[in-house]
Amino acid sequence: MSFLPISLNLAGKQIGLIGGGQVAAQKLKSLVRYSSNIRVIAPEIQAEIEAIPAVQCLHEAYQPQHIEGLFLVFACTDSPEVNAQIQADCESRGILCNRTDDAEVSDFHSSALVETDDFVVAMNSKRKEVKKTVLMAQEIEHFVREREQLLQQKEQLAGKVFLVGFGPGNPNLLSRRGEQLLFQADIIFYDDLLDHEFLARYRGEKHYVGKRRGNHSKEQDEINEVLYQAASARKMVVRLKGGDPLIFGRGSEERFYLEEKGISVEIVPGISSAIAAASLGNIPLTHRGIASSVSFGTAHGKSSYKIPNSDTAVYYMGASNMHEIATNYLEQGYPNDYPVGLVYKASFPDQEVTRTTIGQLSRGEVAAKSPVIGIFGHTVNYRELLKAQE
Amino acid sequence: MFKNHLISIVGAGPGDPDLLTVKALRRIQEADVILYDALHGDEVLQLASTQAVKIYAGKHYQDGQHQTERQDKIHEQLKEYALQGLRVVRLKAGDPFIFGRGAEELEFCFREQLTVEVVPGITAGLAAASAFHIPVTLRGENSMALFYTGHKRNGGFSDIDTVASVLKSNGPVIVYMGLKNLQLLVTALLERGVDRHTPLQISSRVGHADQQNYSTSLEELDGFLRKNEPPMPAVILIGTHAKPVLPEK
Repeated sequence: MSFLPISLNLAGKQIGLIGGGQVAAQKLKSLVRYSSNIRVIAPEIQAEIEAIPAVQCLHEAYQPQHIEGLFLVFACTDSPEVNAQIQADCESRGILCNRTDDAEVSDFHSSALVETDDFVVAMNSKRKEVKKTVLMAQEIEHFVREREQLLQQKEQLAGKVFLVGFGPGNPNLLSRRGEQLLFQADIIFYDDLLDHEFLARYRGEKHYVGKRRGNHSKEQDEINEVLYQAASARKMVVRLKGGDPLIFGRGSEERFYLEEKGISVEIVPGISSAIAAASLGNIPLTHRGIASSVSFGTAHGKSSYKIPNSDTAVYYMGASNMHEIATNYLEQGYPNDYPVGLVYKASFPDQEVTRTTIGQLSRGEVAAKSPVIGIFGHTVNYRELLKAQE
Repeated sequence: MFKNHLISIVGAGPGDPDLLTVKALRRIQEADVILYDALHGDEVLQLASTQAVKIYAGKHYQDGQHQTERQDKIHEQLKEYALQGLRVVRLKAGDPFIFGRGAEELEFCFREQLTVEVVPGITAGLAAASAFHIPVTLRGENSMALFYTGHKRNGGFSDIDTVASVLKSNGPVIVYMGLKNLQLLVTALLERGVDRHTPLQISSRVGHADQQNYSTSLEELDGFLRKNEPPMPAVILIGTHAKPVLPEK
């Protein structure tokens, strides 16, 4: 059995419903939105049906001549025999018939409909699971309405730049607002996100502005300029940034530049990579009785890694720097067994977590792989510490 | 086979449902049971199914319950519901691992061999920075940001020297603590030679419709707090560059 979902043009065509009870009344609820030329035939017809202006009522028992000239027929009587007769009569006249008591033998059946200002979504269950279909249609309705509303609001966002924190890379960790803005964007600027396929689902123009090795400040100027150009062309601009835009993300630089030129900027926070690495690597950054401070650090100038003496320290750096940081810790007098957690490719399916020590790292017994987040501090071994507390 | 349904320790962010991650939102919508703390607006909880059981697990002021007892009770509930095959979400304000006490619950789940995951959230300090245009890091100006909660220890504050040294190197310090002890902390910082003009922001109710930022400085905090009562919860940002930068009108 195969059913083709199509949309029928009902202009100038008449529809017949045989039956005047609850089933017919229910059918009519959706039919009257599409046709004002409906005939209902039954000896007794509910008052609710009689009250519908688009419906002509004929108070008679079913006769084959009732369906002459009709385009579609719904057989909704409570008698399977009568319904079967209606179907046979329709077939001999080339009229499409739906039997509400037997979907399998019908020529067509009605879809669950989701209707908004701009769209109609029709949904059919392949397994005839009505409840599931209704639930799914509600979900889809919610989704379609939300998206439609976002598109309607888009006008007001023209000429604005949104600096959106993308989080560590897995699109699941993007914020809901960030995701909605991507959907609305006319133009999307992104750098080294690791999941390029993800962006394909958005209709905006996509531009890669990732950093190449070389003159970073020149590149930053170029990025500032392309953002400005896009916004002044009245586009709705999304600038995606890894992690959080304000934690070593240069979000402030871009914002200052654009605002000075009169462009309105909004920053949407993201999950900073350090925080993601902690959660996804099961390494707390703070913990009552173990750590009350955590610092997030990066390289200052060329290569100086300040060891901040905070209880926990997280570094956003290349793998090669982890060795150097560990050595700095040792020079500052931290013991060999001071714990380090290395989280490689946080949030991706091939994420790896390594628990080691500054001693092992500095001696090269453990090598970090890029991209990596390094967490230095006792919370790395919090399980042992918690056990010791008990 | 897992013996329980997955327990998710979920960072709910600052309270604005738009700042939930896609993953957190999905976990909340699918949850059968949600154990939540205070500090969230109702908006996040409203995203859950109407059939979901929602249990308040936060701190009641002066409820007479000991912290350990309260925590044990949470653990019991996590286990009980998960073993019934229900999808349990432990919802935490901000991020579970930045002063969120997610570790105790995680450890409990590991010990009981319950399958568990941690879903990160937007921590209040970073949400405040975005909302109020406060730069956290600036290239060439600072290479470090410190997240700190002021516990009093041996009559002083834990890690106070670290806080002072980060501030002296222009790094921002994001403080998660009540306003009650803030003046004491600031006094301790001034005693350690931190510049008295250093800007200090109190970002109140970040992520809620009535969010507001209050700007003052280390030396002016005392006077400020005598005249103002920023609504809670609040997060505090201190640092040379930790002040709102707004476009000129």
